Amino acid sequence: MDDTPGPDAARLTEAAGMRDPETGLRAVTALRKLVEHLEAVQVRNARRQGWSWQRIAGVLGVTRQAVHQKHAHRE
Amino acid sequence: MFERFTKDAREVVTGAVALAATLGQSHVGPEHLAATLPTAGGRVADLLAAHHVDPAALTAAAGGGTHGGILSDAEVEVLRSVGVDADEVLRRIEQEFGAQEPTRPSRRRLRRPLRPEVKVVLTQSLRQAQAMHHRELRTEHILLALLAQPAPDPATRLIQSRGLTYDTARSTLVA
Repeated sequence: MDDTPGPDAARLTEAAGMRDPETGLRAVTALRKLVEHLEAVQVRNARRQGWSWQRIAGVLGVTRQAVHQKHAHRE
Repeated sequence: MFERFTKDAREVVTGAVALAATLGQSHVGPEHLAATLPTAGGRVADLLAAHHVDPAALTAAAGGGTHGGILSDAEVEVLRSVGVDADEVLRRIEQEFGAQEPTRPSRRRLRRPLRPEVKVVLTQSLRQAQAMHHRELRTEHILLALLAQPAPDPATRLIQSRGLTYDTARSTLVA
């Protein structure tokens, strides 16, 4: 009497999800939100550990101005 | 529309807009109005406290779930469908760095449009004020309009689940 779908059913739903543009695009937006949060947390962590904006920007692959403009107000 | 609002009632609306932005949501819904009521002060805050409505739980309900206040249940679900376990990422952040403030969007993006349901609730708030022969629109009228919604938002449902229904609220507030 177990109506939880088996692993195969789950895999099937996931595959269908990937192909549906609505799901795929929503996933991109949600992932961007998660990335933004992760970036804020990690930049804050780096600053607390004494990293310069220059060094943070280097690892993130953006200019020092870009990272400073985006995160300096959160300090 | 806002000219009849008391200062407290106006702050509920501006607070709801700020909350939607803080939660990273694109629109303001009735759930954001409901989650802002405990900070409004006055009789409404007292009434919510008397029914043991936890402000943090209201905010979580407005955010569509916990998920660190970052993502809604639907967003976590959609990420799972493409193979990303967002809850695991958020759990590790919390484990390493402790509970985090939701990431605030940059200032210029603080404006959020109101969903049609919010306009309905605010219009109904005005009706509540008129029905009670009050010249001003107060926070209690917003609470009553929220509780009277035919399909209440998750935060309002939480308030109702604590026994604070439309009838209870109205009889308390009219007395």
